[in-house]
Amino acid sequence: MRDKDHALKSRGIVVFFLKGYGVFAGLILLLIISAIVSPQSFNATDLLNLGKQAAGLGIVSIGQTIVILTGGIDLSVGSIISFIHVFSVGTILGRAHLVFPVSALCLIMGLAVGCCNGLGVTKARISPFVMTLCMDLILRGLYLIYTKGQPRGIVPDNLRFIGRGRVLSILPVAFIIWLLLSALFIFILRKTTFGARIYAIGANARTAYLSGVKNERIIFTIYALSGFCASIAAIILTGDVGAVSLGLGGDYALDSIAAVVIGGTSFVGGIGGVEGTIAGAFIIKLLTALLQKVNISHSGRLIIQGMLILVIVGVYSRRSRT
Amino acid sequence: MPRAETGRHMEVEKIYRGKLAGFITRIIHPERHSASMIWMVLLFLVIIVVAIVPDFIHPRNISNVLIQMVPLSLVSIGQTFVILAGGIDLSIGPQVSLITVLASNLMQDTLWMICATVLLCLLCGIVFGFVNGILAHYVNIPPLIVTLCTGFIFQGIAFALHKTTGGHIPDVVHEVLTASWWILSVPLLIFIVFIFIGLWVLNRTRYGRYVYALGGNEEVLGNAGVNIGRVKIATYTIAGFLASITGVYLAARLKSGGAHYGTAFTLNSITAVVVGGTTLGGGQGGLSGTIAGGIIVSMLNNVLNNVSFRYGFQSSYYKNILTGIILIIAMLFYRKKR
Amino acid sequence: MLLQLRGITKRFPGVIALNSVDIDFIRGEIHALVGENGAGKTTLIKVIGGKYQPDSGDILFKGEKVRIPDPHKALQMGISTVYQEYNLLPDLRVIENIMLGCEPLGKFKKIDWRQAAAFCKNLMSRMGVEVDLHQYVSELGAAEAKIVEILKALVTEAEVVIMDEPTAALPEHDVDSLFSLIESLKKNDVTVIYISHRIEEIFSVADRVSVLKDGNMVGTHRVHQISSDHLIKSMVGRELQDIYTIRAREVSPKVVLSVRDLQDGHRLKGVTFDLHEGEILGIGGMTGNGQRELIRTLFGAHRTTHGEISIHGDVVSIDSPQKAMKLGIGFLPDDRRNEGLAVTQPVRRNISLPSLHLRQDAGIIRGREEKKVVEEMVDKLGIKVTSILQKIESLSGGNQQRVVLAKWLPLNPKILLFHEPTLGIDVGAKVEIYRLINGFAESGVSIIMVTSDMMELLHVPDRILVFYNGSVSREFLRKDATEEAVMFAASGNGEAHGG
Repeated sequence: MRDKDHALKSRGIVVFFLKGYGVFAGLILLLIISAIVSPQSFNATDLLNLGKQAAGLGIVSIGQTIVILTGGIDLSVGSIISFIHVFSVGTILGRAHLVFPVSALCLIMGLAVGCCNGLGVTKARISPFVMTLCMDLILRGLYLIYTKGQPRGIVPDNLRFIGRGRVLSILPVAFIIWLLLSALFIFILRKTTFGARIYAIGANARTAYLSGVKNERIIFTIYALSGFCASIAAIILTGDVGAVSLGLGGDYALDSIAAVVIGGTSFVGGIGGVEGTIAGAFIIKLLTALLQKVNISHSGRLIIQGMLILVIVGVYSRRSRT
Repeated sequence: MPRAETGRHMEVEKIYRGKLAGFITRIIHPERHSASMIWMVLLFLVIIVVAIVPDFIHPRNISNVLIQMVPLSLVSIGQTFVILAGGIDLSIGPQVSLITVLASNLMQDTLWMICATVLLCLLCGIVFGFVNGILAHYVNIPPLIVTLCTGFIFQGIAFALHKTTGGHIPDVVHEVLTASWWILSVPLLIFIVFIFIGLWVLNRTRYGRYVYALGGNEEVLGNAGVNIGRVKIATYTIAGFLASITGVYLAARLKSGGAHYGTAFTLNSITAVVVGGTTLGGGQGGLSGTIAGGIIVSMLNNVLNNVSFRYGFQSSYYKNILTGIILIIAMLFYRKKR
Repeated sequence: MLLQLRGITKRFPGVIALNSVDIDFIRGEIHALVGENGAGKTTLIKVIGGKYQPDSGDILFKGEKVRIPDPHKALQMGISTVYQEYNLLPDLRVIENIMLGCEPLGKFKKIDWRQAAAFCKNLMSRMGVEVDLHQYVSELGAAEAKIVEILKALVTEAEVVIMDEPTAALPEHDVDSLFSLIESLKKNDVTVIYISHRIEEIFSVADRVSVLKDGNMVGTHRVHQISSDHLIKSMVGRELQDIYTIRAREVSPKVVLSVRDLQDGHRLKGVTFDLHEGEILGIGGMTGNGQRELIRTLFGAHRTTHGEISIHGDVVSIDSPQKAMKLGIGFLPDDRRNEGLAVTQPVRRNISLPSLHLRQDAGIIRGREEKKVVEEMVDKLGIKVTSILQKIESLSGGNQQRVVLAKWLPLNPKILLFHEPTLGIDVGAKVEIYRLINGFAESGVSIIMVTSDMMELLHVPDRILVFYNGSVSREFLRKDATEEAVMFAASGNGEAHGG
């Protein structure tokens, strides 16, 4: 059985990659198209720049991946980002020494919002769709009340470094943070008991419970994690944008879901992982950049993104039938 | 088909006690959907509102409130069908927007063009809904994602076709569709017509039963020899059709079209349906509850506007929070019942 | 001769489900279909019922060659199927369920419920049953629900009614009302094709019985021309005695688990018993008398309002599965696919899940150790897989149950709870499971098994508790238990004659 195991594994890795991570093939395809369309921007600097731009989305999508793995969804991440953005800038008001404490506060806030989501889903037994949707609405309202329509504040340089700075003048700090976080969560999902239990809950929550898994505790934790990831993304995006901006979180909820889904994680739960999400986030940002180069407007992007997700998810779900 | 028994005198079982009470019950409430609770809540809310804002009772204001709730209620009828059958339609808002844009772009002042445009819009609504249905049934993707994506697509098209001038709607169209006398008005009439049709179809026809059954358990319905695909696709088509009616009406009322006109409808229609007692998984609930839910949502928004005007703060800030809180309360409330 | 199948063959990827099967059905007969799991019975009825298309062969209905392309066509032809899986809509009323798909129409396409009610009442009186048409199906008991399903199948004036294990979920007393319904069908000249694993039933109700084995038709017999032993032999090639090897065993007097006056305000009304070390305790009685609630309580999956549970003399409160596991208890639920396994996950994940905490350092899994343990389990329990990365859904029932068992062994449980240990498992695999259970008992593990399989109940456990109405009606040692005495106790007659 050892040999068969090995054979299955090595054949399996290839199949696994194609099946589960055909997304990487898609990413490569998209990169090729991008190279054809605008060869002058197909160099290391610009690609790394893409990495920097995708970092915010990528980080949010990590949290979203974990949530969707358990069969849930988090629609509140966009407004978490918006709110934390205006709150942090409005509190720091350009004073560099406040960056650290305020950022820490923001991380706690993100965690708190996530905990509320978690409570709603576990204790109040509200479906994740509704609960996170409501949280999203409430946060939007709070955002408007806080800013009164006119957000204010200045972003100090140290914060900008996180968002825009580069190590060794090539590698964007944001990109590095994203990759490190991804690596951390990939490890957690694949190699720890916590991760194994997340997959178990996603595959069959009832069985997991009757196998001794503390479902409620884990589900609560993952929503908290998602909120936490959103707040990290908010800080980085704030640094990147460099100034206060209206509705920074905008499309992030839907984009993160797109990134996760394109990356191969399935809505039924228990299938997928953060590995694919990395590629998914890249694809979304690359697509946006590509469409802008070809001069397709925002409306066009919407249309194409919508069709793309449909096609990809359709193909994935067909594959899982075989 | 079962052969009817003739020549055997059986005691017929009285399903509804009392003929008149039965008749009214049958029209308003389907057999299992006890929407009485939410109608009570609505009554309660109305009483409170009237107590706080006595001007509310003024015929002009009531007429306005009734008119304002029409678009949301129309859209919510369609959403009810979809959700009862176990699906959801997140593209309904963008559909409405797109139809307003289409209507305002195409309409000219001649009678012929008016009719043609209206018909085209209705046709588009049917087609959009049909596409949603086909995708939801034949492609193995949750309706949530399907309609999310088609919503993107419709929204994109709406943006693309959107004219900054807002397009053109002939005055006569505006006049006709917004005419009102006392508390009655054309939109209200349209609403009542569609409500009755909706109630009839959902509660009294085979198709209506199949919608409930589809939400309850697809397989069981399929085993009974019913074509599931048709039932499902029809619910989305109905939603699309009602969205197009709403779009045409909205364009007429606002005398223009806009890519953002319909955005709020998605969330608000889902809220109306949930508040009305229909479960998001389908199979339970009904139209009469949704009506009450829609009225509650519209009314609360209306009150919010009034109050914010009176006390000088921006209502738009609080609208979102309000909707969110309503949804959570509704979910908690119905969760306890089950 | 109403229905004939000639040379029906049906293939699926990798397996021949039906191999040139010839079988015929006479009008008005009750024809039983028997065979092990995987013998082809369900495939055969799905072919007749229009769900599957045969790859070759002919179907003759009333003497004419026909094609049955889908269930709808089958219904139109007069062939109705009542499947094992629940086929009703719980949120709708009985009358709506029965008439689903063929509601009579009145004016303007409106459903005419009066006509529907009249029709149903007529049907019920013809069949000699009565159900409240107005009730919601969710409020019905298992037997009533099955009757409603059969009524539903009869609405289309069926001439052939196929039933797949109709009594599988029914308590034995309710089986009688089902049988009288089947007799009524016979009186109305309806042919009944009846799949069952319960040999005793077949002998009491069927006219003829056909045996399928590995997709082949072994033979058709008149029921009174064959003995049950012979029948089982032709199904498996094994004598009845071999299935249950009675081992004489001394049970230790040491009490491992003790339950006193357990109540839950609903189904449990005062359960009291002791479990000894190394003992196999069987719990029987008609389904629905508290057995399910009891076994789930012992695993922390059911709330009780009153009573005491003690393990090795210490009173414990088992409020969650984690707690139960800490106390050394393992649980194999009756619904394997939905509660015991994660079918989309590989075997390895399923087996290692409950014992993950034993193979970790600060949360990080020791992969090699985990793999080793899983492989040990696969060896020890004889799980047939090509690799531990294989997904559960590709395993047979018997193998799946072994995987569920493998989940618990790494935890060295002292008590194993089995709820319907061999449900949906064919005779060959059953023997293996009993062997494993006996093995565990011999090594000191105490076992409680709730079962509705009379033969299993009488032959496997050392001691038997019969439940009635939420408490223990009577207790038997294996040597004293007879089918009659158990049935008596299960019907509420505690200390009965004929024991």
